[in-house]
Amino acid sequence: MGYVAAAYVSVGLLLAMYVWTLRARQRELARLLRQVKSP
Amino acid sequence: MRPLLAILRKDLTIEGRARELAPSMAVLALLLLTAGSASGMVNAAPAMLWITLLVAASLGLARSFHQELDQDQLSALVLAPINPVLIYVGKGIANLLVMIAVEGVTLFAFTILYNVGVPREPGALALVLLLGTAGIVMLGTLLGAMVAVARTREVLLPVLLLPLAVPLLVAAVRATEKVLAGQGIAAVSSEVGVLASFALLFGAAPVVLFEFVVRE
Amino acid sequence: MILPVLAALLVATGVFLALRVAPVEAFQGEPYRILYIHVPSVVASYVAFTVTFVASVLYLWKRERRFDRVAYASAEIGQVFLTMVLLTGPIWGKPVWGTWWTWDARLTTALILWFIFAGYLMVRAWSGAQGTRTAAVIAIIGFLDIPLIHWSARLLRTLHPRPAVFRPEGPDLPSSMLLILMVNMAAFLLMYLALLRVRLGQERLRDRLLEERAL
Repeated sequence: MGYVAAAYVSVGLLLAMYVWTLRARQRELARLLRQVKSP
Repeated sequence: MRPLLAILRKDLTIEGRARELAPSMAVLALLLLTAGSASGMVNAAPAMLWITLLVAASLGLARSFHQELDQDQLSALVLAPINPVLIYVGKGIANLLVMIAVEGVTLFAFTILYNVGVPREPGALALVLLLGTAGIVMLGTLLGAMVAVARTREVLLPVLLLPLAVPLLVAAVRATEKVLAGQGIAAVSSEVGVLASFALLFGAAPVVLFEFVVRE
Repeated sequence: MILPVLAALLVATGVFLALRVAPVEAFQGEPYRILYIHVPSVVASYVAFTVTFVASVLYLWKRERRFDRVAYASAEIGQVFLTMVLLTGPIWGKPVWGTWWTWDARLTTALILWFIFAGYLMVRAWSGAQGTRTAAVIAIIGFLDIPLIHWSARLLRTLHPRPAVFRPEGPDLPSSMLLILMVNMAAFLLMYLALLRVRLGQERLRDRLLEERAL
């Protein structure tokens, strides 16, 4: 049973980490775009 | 034909980076074999041989286009009215000849350090060595051209080469194992099949793709 | 907005079905439930890599920026799914086969593919604008190499003992399990599409940014 939990949790964590990096990149891009538009 | 020979000659003469690197490649190969033998890898002799060849090849191939880049000859080469495929073939043959030279030395040391006997069918071993080396060189020459512009080319080339070369590595090691154990050509037919397919794929693919790699 | 919500809902449903509703398997017991996320991960990653392959071919041929963006975005997401495959595979293998790793043809191919993708992403990270064509070639030859990798991996297996219980073809699934698997398959594919949409948007944004800066 521990193995099932380990598998599902690690997949969930991996997805969460990727979504987090996507959001971080989105924020960074938005910031840079604002900078370029109004120096 | 003429431009092909010209490229070949340029690479193998004194100014040729290929020839400059050959001794370093050989020394590196010998070092790896020695380290392996000393640390008890004698049981995995065929694996040590092929991994050594791959690493030595990576060293030579990463810089095979570097000379052109240094002297900005790459754009001159590309703009010249030669079929870009000839550039690839010329470089490939030059690299192959260098690899064969390095391999000769490596095999000599290999036989001594790993107590390898003469195989019952030396022709089979020769075939495996030739196909394997050809495959490495064909793929490596293409990758060498691609990573030439990257600052991290020395580490990038093996990182790209090794995963793609896994079929070659597996097949070559198994075939070498079998042949050194006394088996003949028939026993290694599936391994030779993989090696031949590999050589075919990475002989044909660059012919199509090389133009896209060097085109501006 | 509807796509991510739909994907999330379907994933939640799929996981619930996999953990609570699906019947227990005769041979393997509880661990077999990992199948419901392992197989869809495999499918999603292969779809992603195929998209990258096609986009790379189109990019080299037509030189249109949009193909390159799709190739990159799909490759990154594919790598995420592939990592899931490499995590769930051994975790499933340990209780069932007794060993974390076995040179099973499919797991081996997944591992090598992971390295090929890693090289692709490295080239993109380090080489910038010039790297797009190199990366495209890597994607193409990597894709074409896969049958060879699989073939040679099968040669490996005769050296190592075959797993006693788990057949590489996968257990024959009764229809209830198959249905739940299909649900999860759809869930993962929707996840892929949702993530792709977001990632693609970011690539487009980045291109716009570079254009604005150049002005």
